[in-house]
Amino acid sequence: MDAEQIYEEFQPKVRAYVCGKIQEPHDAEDLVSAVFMKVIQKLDSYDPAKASVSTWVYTITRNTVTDYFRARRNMIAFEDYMVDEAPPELTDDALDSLADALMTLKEKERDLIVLHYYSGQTLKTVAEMMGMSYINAKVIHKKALESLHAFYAAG
Amino acid sequence: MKKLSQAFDFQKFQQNPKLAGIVRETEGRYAKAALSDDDLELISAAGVTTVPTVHPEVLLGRHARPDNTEENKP
Repeated sequence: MDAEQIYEEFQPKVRAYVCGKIQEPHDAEDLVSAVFMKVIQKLDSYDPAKASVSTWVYTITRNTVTDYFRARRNMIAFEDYMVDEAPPELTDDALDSLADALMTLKEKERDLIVLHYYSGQTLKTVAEMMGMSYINAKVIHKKALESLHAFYAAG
Repeated sequence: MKKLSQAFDFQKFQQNPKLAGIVRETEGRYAKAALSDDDLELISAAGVTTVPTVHPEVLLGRHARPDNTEENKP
């Protein structure tokens, strides 16, 4: 894939990810541009044996957003030291498997996992949203993780 | 747990349709009771509202809305 093809295919995904994390539209636009500048700069060093193009672009995007938040907190930007490699298990197939695994959970367990890990709510807030005690939420959380672990262990 | 967080974060980029359906269904069941810590950091102190303003007297029911029926026109 060349830079233009990568831009055509991944620009909507990069934009959706960045705009989901960054409220200021101008900053979000700047970051989307910054991501593709880095993609172009690093394209020669991209190794398809290590990760898919999707995972590689995602990692650059994630690191760029992280760097943005660190800079806002007046910390030194670790851009040069960040590894542009995502765990190899981050693939679309893995997300399909996760969806299948979630569907084996009870509705309350699934809801808790999504609200906590996707929506970013603390377990305390999730408990309030779901109308249960914090202790109950912790118990359901533990059961859900055990069920997911069992699903993956069963292959 | 870290792998789960990583997978869901990747979902925000990859937008796998099967997983997106599950997320949509769950988030549709619950009103957003609170903002996440990341969201709270991005809210300015002044805040911005797009909610149309209603006169407090109307909200308190002290003044009825204008009645434009024929009988009540001056």
